[in-house]
Amino acid sequence: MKRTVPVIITTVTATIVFLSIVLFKTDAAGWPGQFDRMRQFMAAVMMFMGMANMTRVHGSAIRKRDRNWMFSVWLLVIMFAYAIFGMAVGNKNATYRWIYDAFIPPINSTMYAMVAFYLTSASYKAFRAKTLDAALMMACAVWVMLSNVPVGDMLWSSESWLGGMAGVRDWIVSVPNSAVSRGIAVGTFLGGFATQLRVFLGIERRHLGQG
Amino acid sequence: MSLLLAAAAETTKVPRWGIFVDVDGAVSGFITAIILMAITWYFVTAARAGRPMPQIRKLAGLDAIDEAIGRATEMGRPVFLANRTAGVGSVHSFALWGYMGYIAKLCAQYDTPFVNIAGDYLAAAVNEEVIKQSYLEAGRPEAFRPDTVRYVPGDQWAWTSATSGMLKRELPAATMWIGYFYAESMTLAEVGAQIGAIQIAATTNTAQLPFFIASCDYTLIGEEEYAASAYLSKEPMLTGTLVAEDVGKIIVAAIVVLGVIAELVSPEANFVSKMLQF
Repeated sequence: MKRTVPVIITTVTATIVFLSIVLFKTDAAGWPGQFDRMRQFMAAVMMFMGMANMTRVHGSAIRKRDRNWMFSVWLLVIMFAYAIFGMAVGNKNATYRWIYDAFIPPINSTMYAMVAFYLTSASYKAFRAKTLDAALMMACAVWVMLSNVPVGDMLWSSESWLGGMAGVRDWIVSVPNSAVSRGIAVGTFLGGFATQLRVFLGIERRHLGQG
Repeated sequence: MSLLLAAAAETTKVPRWGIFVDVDGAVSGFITAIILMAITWYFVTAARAGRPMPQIRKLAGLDAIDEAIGRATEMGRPVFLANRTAGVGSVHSFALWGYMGYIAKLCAQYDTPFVNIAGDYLAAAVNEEVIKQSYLEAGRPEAFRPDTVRYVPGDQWAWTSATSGMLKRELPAATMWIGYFYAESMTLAEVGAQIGAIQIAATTNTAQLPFFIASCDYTLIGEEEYAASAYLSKEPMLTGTLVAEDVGKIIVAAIVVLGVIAELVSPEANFVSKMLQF
């Protein structure tokens, strides 16, 4: 019973959604939209599970006085204070929005900017041309990088033969690169479809807590 | 008479039946899905009947999971498995649970700490069940710790900084990045490389593949991400779905060849693209 009922629910729901998408108008008023609303409701309820998980993990760190436990205190205070404040004043409140806008976007931008430095160290590793494949990749990467800066146009003008460095770059990006990406995309679609079918047919049951 | 008048009257067109209205790809999508389902059904039935299934080619990234967990066990350090974006309805989550079950079971057997960082609260709840079940299967349910599954809100850079912090503080010997990642892939993989962890990544996002390939020890590309549950469990029925997938690939390749020939014979007709838009 514990094994069969979830599989039946999955298969019946998947069949209804699949047929609805193919046969019916697929807007929010349709059946798929109704199922999505049910999922959204469940997700909203489950958000408390997320908070419970964070409270449990960080509460445990505080109790055990783990290294950096004071950061856990800080996290829990901020999380609950901001949630309670938001529920009290509503999400359109200017102060509530200011707190978010003043902190999160600048911190996000800082983290994003750090990617540039990580890219440098990763490029150094990738560009050690030990094999023919790595050498080819390095040559293509250097070409694409040069063609994207003014010095590339100085070396081989885009108004000359083959469209210059930029012309060759466009060919690399739109022909070999695009072909490989599409090949991967076809495989990914089929792999994803096979995975969904495994769930649909009840062969894949890991998510139901069954081996 | 009134019926005849009603029939003759111009009715408001309400596109109720997608298959009969102008929805690009509704019919061909339906037929494609049915064909793929039929192929999968055939191979699953064949596997269930005990007919031999073809061998799956070696996937170094999946074979390396055992090696990574062994290294973590020797070093007495944890194994990290993370996914930021995938919710419970995502195909990436179903793929992730295949990895998770296998890794958690091995970690439980070897008494190696295992940590999952989830970016979705619904997925975190399911992850916990999957891991508990694996610990139970390994005969060590008591080894499950309350901080094994750590939910960190999936906001891109908040999640990334929290995960990077955990990597730096807890120094895992093995990190596994499974699922759909965006620009955070570079940060995560480089932080993992800095702490000297064995890194295995699996993603279908072609834009992020180069970053994982540059910084990780093993990278599973595209559909290889989805092969884990069949490859690791070696169960014939799951292998049957992989065989069906490969048959699908042959069909797609045949359609590509047909498209090329059709374009060469009659470039104006757009025969294959029209057929697929049907």
